[in-house]
Amino acid sequence: MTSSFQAGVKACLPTVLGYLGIGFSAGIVGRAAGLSPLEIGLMSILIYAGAAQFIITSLLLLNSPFSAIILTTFIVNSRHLLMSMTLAPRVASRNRFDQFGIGALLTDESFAVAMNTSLKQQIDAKFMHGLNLTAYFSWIASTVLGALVGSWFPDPERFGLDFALTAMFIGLLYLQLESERSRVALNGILLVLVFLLLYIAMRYLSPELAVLFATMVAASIGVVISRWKSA
Amino acid sequence: MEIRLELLILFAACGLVTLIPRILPFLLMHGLTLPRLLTEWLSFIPICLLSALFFQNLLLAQSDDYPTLSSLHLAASVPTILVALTSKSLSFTVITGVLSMALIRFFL
Repeated sequence: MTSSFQAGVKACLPTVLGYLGIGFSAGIVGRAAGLSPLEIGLMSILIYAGAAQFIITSLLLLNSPFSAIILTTFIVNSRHLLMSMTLAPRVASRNRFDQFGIGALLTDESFAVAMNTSLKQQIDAKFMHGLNLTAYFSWIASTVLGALVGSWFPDPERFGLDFALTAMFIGLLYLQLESERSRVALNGILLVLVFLLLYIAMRYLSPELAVLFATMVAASIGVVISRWKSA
Repeated sequence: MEIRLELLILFAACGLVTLIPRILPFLLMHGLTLPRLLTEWLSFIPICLLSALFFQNLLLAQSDDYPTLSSLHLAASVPTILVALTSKSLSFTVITGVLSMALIRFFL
């Protein structure tokens, strides 16, 4: 184990708490929907995406056709394309195996942690593996744990666990804003824009597509404003 | 304990469509020099995406209408944001969020 890998593990630790809260809830919800702990573990190993796993579980309960579940999963998880595109050029590795591994285990949280770290130092493949593997195993363990002891907690929402994800986004967003102080005014404008775009888009699109739409349009406006200001 | 074959197939298929957008840029953008316009655009993705994900958690989708603001999530966000600002710690922020939500639900 190299120090870079360890640094990745360490950088992941604050988000582990969030994974535990959400994973635990996902396990409970999965169990309530009639999935076995093994099936829940398998879902975490093969899919490894929090929001999508909740949605898949609820669609299974509704007896949705598999084609619809697969399509929905694709839409919900297509935002990873944006994260991968953003992160890929910043990771210094020419090894195909490394690149595959880093991309395969990318999540909202590991992306945010990686971006945050990349502003302070060069991130390498070992750092990303430490970060991603810690998150991956925390997720699998917490969903299985939730599935195993879920019957003791019939209502995970009562303990506020469902808010762990929202709280994590708040923390990650703040850290990202903090690291981009050089364009604090522009980022302020973008936050308002994202909210308005999302609000309007959620009338016409699914929440997941609305997130994608608001992100892409706001980022484009960000480019226009920054070019116009520097012109 | 069992694993149903049809679920194994479903999860594998869902895993595949999740994997593709995750790995594609890593496999394709390797060694490529991106146009400046694209790198500039990508530099705005973290803020825009994270804020969109946060705001989406505050909004409740309505059928055929604009979403409504969840006062429950908004209320739990206030102490969470304050702790994020003062502690600058992700762990404290997540713990505060979960506790706030639990307390709000307890007293409502």
